[in-house]
Amino acid sequence: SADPTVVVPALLAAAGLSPSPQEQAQIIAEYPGLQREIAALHAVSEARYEQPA
Amino acid sequence: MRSDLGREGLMQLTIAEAAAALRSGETTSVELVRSAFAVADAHDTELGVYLSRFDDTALAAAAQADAELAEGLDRGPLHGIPLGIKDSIATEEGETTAQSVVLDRTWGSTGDAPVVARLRAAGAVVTGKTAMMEFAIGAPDADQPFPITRNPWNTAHYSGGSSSGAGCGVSTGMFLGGLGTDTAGSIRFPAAACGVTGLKPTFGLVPKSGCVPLGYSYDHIGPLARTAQDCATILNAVSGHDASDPTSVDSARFTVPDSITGLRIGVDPLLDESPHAHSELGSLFELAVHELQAAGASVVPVELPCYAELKSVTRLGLAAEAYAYHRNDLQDRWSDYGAGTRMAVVRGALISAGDFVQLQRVRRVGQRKLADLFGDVDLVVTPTMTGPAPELRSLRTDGMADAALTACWNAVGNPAMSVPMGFTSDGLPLGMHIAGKPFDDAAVIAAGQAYQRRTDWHRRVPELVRDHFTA
Repeated sequence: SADPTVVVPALLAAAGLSPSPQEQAQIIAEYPGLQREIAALHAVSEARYEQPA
Repeated sequence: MRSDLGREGLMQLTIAEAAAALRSGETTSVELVRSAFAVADAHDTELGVYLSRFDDTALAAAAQADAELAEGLDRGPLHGIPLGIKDSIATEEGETTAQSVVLDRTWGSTGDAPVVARLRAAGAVVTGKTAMMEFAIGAPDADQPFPITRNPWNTAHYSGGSSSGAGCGVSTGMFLGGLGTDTAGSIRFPAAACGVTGLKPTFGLVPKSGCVPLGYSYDHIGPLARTAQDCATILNAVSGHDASDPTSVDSARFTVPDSITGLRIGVDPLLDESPHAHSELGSLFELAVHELQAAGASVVPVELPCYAELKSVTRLGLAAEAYAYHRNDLQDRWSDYGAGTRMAVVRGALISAGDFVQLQRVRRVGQRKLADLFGDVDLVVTPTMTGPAPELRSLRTDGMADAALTACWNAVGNPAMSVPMGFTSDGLPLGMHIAGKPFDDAAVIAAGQAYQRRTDWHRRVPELVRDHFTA
């Protein structure tokens, strides 16, 4: 898994967003949970051959 | 009409009762609108329902409604009825703010959203624009120059959101019905929290153009009112295709069945999803289900398929879609957004295009599994929230999202309604959630009506305004 302290500032900078240092720290802290939530959706086996709507 | 009601007591009526009173000559639209504004004059400083009021135009529209009815021109059950409109929906009277300093004040200046135009064509009187969460997401923010809507049953608590003003305004009689929007529960949450009825229609049934978007494919416009019957009246007026919204569909005016005898209702208390549920939620929910049985429905236990996955789809998907809308303003005006709003929307910048497509695939899985479930049952009932409205001082965006059991339905588009099902021992309302098959909104409403014929929770009025009504 990628290091959130590297990935999140890079994503925010690429998006042109400038949260405060405290907000960036909060986003970094929440990022692993967000990625776990996304990973759980990629793990839905029935979706493997599903067409996206 | 109940003859014991004084002028302000008119605002305890349902839309159906007020419509009958207008036609029997027991009241006038002008009197209804004056009564609505009298309640707001007395209580809105404390409750924070309105962002803007349209006293002059509302009274003029009410006078016109009275004249038309006197001449025999009857536009139907909303003719002369005062309604409040969430401030993300455009109205011709003035600017739309979406409760944000960020929104371009010329947004919506082309006039009424289709839903508002349809309400006016039905003779309804627009009393003003109602408070909300900024852009319908985030949390109430004391640092922003807007009111925070309080719960009329206990003003230390939140009204629920994001259609905050609509829920509180119906509960207190500042209008007899309202339009809200619902992207993850924003109609059903304030309905449950304020002790009123709120309906998220089937996605596509109501055109969304003229409404500031949050999550394009999760957004719904729908009614809040005292009763399921009143919600049906408003829905019938606003539904149907409009060319300005390509996701909207043609719909025939529907009739709500009188009886739910023989209707098959699946019951899922969602206990696994509610580890911190209020201690009285389970018993009140059981009693509510019993009333549906007593009304003639057959009840079977079910387990909602893909509940957690669909909740995640809504949470992540609406963030991605909201980010698409807000990206440029977030770049230029980050600190002009409320803290809760910008921190909720920024999640969308962290979701890849591949992740977004995967959400759409999981949605299809959820739709198919729910379609299978709805082959066995006609409706599914759950609690609306895990507990009553939270205290304002302890409000967190994620905490509200966890407390709402509503978001999964926005991922699939099925119709879903919250009806009041009782009160906690400390006097805060709780809601029962009724969901149905796509475009079978009538069955959802029928169950709500049947339940409300057997209970009177929807008739309860907060003590705060009860004193005003009887003064």
